[in-house]
Amino acid sequence: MRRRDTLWGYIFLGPFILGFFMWHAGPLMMSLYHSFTEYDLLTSEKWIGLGNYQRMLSDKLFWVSLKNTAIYTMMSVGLYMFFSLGGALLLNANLRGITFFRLVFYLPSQLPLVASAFIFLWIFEPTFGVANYLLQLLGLEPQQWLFDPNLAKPTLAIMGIWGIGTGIIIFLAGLQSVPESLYDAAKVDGAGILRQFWHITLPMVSPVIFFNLIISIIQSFQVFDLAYIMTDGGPGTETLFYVLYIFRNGFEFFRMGYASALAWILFIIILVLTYLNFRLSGRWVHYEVSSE
Amino acid sequence: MSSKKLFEDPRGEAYRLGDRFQQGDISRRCFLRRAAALSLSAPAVSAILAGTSPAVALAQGKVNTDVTGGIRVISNTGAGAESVAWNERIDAFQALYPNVKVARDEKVGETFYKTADTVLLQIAGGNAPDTMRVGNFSAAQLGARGALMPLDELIASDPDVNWDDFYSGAQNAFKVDGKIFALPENGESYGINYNRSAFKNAGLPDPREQWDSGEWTYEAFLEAAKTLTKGKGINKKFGFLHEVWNSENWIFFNGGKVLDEDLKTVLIDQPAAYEGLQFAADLTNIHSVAPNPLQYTAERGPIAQFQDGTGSMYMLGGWYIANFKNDIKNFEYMTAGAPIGPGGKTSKLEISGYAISSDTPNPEASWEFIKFIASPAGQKIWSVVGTPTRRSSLKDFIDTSPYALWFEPFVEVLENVQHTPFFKKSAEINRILSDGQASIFLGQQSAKKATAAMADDMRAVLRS
Repeated sequence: MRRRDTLWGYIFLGPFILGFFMWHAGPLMMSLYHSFTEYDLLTSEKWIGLGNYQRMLSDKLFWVSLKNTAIYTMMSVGLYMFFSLGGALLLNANLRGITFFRLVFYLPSQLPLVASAFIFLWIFEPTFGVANYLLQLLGLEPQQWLFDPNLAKPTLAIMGIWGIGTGIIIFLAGLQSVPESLYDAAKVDGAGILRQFWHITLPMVSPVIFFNLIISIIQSFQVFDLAYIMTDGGPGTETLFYVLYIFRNGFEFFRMGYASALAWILFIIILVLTYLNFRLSGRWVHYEVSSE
Repeated sequence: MSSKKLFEDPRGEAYRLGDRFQQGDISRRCFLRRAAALSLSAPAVSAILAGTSPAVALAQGKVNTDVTGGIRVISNTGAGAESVAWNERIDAFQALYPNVKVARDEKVGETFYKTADTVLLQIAGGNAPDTMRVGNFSAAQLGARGALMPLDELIASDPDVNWDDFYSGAQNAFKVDGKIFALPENGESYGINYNRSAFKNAGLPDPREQWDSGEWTYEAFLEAAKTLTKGKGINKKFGFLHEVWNSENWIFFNGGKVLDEDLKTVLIDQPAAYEGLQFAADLTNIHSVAPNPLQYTAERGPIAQFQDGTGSMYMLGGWYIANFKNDIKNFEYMTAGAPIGPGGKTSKLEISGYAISSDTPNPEASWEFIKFIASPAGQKIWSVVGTPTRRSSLKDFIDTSPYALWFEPFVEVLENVQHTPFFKKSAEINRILSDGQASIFLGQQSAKKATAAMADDMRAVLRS
C-alpha cells in the first residue's frame, strides 16, 4: 500500500520533475557549459576554458554594469523596505474601509511592468511631466530625471515604490501575528508608540523583514525591464545594469558564451550575498520559540 | 504621369478596376471608359485586357513555370501603405512565378531590430526562413557567421540582376569580408526638412536654393538656426531638431569616418570626426538652437515638434517625406540637403535588402524571389514607401513620384552616401559610438576627449 502511494506520488510529481529538467536544470547546465566556450548561436561552440571569465577582469563595462547594479540595489531595496513596512504599519489599523485601502496599495504591483514604465515616462517627462510640475509648485527647479546622468538611477529606484504592494501584504501578515498582549504589557509599563515599535514590532516582524530583504536584493540585482524599456542603459552607461549587459552580449553582440559566463557570475554574487545575509541574520532576526 | 495613379493607390481603384474586369463584373467598354477616367497607362491597360492582373502588368515580365516549390519570407513592415506595398509585391512575384508558393511571415509594426531578433532565434532553432528582409547591420552579423548565402556568383552569372544599375553605396552596403549577402531593396539618405514659411517670415535665404547653388554651408545653416530660435522655457521655438542615433551623419558631413575600410584602423579620434560631433553638440550646449537630442520622449519627439512648428528645421532620412507632405498643413513644407561641410554633399545611408538563408532547401525559388524584389519592377512597386536603389529606378521615381520635388536633394546625395563598414563586430562598435556620445551631447566633456575614449574601446573590440 505504501509503495503504491509512493508510486502515485511520483506519477503526480512527474510532470513537474520533467518540466524542471527540461526547462530549468537542463538549460542551466547548458549555460554552464557554454560559459566555457565561444558561442554565437549560429555556429558550433568552441571550447576556450576560462577565457570568458578572464575577459571579465579587463572588461570595463562588466565593472560599470556591476557598479550600477549595486548602487541601484542599495537605493531600491532601502526604499522598498522603508515604504512597504511603513505602508503595512498604516494599513494594519483596524479602521472601517481598510480593506479598500489595502486593495489600492496592492493593485499597482499587479500592473504589467511595461504599462507602468510608460506611465512613469510621462510622469518624469522633463517638459510636461507631473513630477516637474509638482516641483515647480513647491518652488523647486525642474529636473531632467531619466536624462540626467546623476538622477537616472535614483529615478528608476523611486519607481520601485510602485511595486510595494507585495511587500506590504507580506509585512501585514507578519504584523498581524504579533500578539496584542505584548503591546498591552508595554503600555502598562509606560512605553510610547516609538518604543513599542522599536522593542516589540521590529523584533517580532524581523523574520519577515529578513525574508523581504533577501527577495528584494535578489530581484534588484536582476533588474532589466526598466532599463531596457525606459533608458536603454543611458544616458551613456549610467543605467547599464548587469542583466541588460548580459542581454546585450548574448543577443546584440552574439557573444552567448560570454553572456553565459556573466550570468553565472551573477548567480555567484547573489549566492554570496544571500549567504552573508543568513550568517548575519542571527544578530538581528528574532524567531519566536514555541512553548511546546 | 500616366502610371502615377497606379502607383499612388496600390490597393485602390486602379487595381480593383482590373480585378473586376478579369472577373467579368464589368464589360470591356465599361473598363476602357473607367481606365481612361483613371488615366491608366497604355501598357497597363493592354496587359489587363490580355488577361494579366494589374500586379503582373506592373511587373511587365514573362510568367515562369519552371521554378517550383515553397519558400517562406520574413519581413518587418510598417502598418498601412508599407504593408500594402509588401503584399502587392509578393502578389506580383506570384503572378510571374505561379508554381512558387510564398508563405508570408509579415511582422507588421515591428522595427528592424525586433524582427532581426526573431530571425536570429529562428535560425538558431533550426527553423530559418528561406529569405528575409535585412538591414545592413543584420546582414553583416548573420552573413559573417555563415547564416546567409553569399550571392556574388549568382549576381555575376545572372544577367537579369544588372548589378551596375545599383549606385555604389547600395552595392557595398551588404558586402562583408568581400562577399555580398543581400540584394538592395530601398535606400535612404538624410537631409533637412524645413518650415519654408518660417524662413520667408524671417527674411532668410531659402535653404533649398542655397543647397542647389552650393551655398548651404555650416555658417549659413547656423545663422538660420540662430535667427529662427526664439523664446524660452516651454514655449521656446528652436531653429533645429536632430537626434543622437543618426549623429554619425555629422562625422560624414565633416569629412570624417568612424572606422577605415580595412576594419583595422579606428578614425573616430581624428579631428575630421570629432569636430563634426562637436559642432552638432554645440548646437544645443553653446548656441542653444536645438533641444538636447538625448532628451526627447516618445510623447514629444522631434517629429511632433517639427510638425507643430516648435522646430523650424529637422534632419531625418527620406522615409518620412511623404508623411510630412501629407500631414503638414500649418506651414509650407520643403526639403534641402544637409549643411555642406568638408565632406561635401553626403550623408549616412540607411538601407534594406533581401537575403537568402544558407540553409534554404529551395535556393532557386529564393533567388528568383529576392531578384524580383531588387528588380526595376519590384522597386517600382516599393517606391510608394521607399526610395529605389537602382539608378534607372531612381530616374523613374523622380519622373513619376508626386513627392519628387521633396525627394530631389535626398536622391542627389545617394551617389555619395557613406556608412561605417559592417562586419562581425559592428554591433559592439555601434554601441560604443552611441553610449560614448552621451557625454558630448550633455556637455560633460569635449568631443575630442570622448572620442579618444571611444577609440580606445573600439580598438579593444577589434583586437578581441
